[in-house]
Amino acid sequence: MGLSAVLSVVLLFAGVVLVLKAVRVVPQGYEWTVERFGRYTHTMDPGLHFLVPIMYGVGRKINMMEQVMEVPSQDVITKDNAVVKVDGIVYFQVLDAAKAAYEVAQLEVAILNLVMTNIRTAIGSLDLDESLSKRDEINAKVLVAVDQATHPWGLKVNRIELKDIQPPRDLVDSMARQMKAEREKRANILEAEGHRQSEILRAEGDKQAAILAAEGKREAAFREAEARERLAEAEAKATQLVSDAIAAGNVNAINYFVAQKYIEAFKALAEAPNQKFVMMPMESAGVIGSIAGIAELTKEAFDRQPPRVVPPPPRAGG
Amino acid sequence: MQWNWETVTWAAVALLLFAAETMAPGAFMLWLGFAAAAVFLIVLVVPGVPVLAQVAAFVLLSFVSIQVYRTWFRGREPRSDRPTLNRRAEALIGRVVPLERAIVNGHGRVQIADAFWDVTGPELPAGTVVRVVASRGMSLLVEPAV
Repeated sequence: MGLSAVLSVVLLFAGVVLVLKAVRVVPQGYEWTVERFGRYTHTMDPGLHFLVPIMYGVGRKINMMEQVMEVPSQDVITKDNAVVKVDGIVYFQVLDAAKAAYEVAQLEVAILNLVMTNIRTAIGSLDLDESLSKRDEINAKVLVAVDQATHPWGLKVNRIELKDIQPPRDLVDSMARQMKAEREKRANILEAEGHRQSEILRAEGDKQAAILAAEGKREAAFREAEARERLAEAEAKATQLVSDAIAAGNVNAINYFVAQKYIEAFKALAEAPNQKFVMMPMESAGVIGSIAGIAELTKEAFDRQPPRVVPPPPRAGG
Repeated sequence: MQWNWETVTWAAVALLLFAAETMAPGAFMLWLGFAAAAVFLIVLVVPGVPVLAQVAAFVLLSFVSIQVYRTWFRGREPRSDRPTLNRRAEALIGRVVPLERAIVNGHGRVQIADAFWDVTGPELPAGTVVRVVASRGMSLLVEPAV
């Protein structure tokens, strides 16, 4: 136990350290840059690698997976001078480990500032209403700008999403009031419209009813006229029949009918509940006289118009 | 051939290193373990080797075993079934997409999923359907898909 033991321990330690430095395992999802005396030479992909110890060393360990980063809330002034609070989220991925390692210092700070300024630019060119409704457009605009700007750093920005665009409290309140007023207006208009519609329908119904009633009256009048026509026809026929009968037989036969009607009418008058003062010839001589007068008239009429020759009824079996 | 504290120590070291490899697969304990096992065999067969020489042999054999792995077994590693893992641009090779912006002076743009990719290729108007044939750093090489 002397010099050789000490040497052995030193040798063992140095050997183990050298082996550990020489054999490097890069896990999946990462790429490590290799430096030769401080100068970048190449990039190690995932897997087992051997580096000549002392000369070569691992530089930066770059995460090649897609990463998500919160964009903190910031105040942004829109084109119409409303101050809104905007925050967002960025998804990016390193495509070129060497560029990401050496082309930019403080990669995440650089991305964050780029995204924040671009969001300010995009929203600053829009009105408040537009910035609230055109979120997709803003996202796309910011994404394209940031993506282009980060290319020299070996980065691909895959997605930028504005999480929240928050207008100031009082503005939100007035927007809510505006919306309420809008709805109320619509409700009122609808109500008035309904009222108008119902009035129109009612008037229409009235009109239809009046027309139908008038039509009914017209129809009734037509029918009544027809009935009267028919009645007159029947009366004419009856009169004809009577006159024919009279022409064929004794003229005095008619006196019987007239007298009967006269007495009937007189009876009806006498029985009528409302007593009327009626002047009537009471004596039968007068009655007969008037009948005689009527007979005279009819006779005259018959004399002026020669009696029609009534064809004899066809004899049965003839 | 004799069992003494040297042989037992090297055997123990070898086994411990193998165990460490299985516990924390960093793939470098294994080479040290092989070296320790080789030194154990040497000490077992040739008695009376000085301790310094044993340690030197261990360090040397560690590098030799690594070198043996590098030259003999490296090419026979099974290939990954997802060679484009974490290589977003290469994963897009073969995709057929319409041009979102015309290729002018060799540079245009396409949209794949949510991301916009710069493309290089022959002059083509916007809307032309193109196929990604290669990745060139941050941009994709495209040709018109027929």
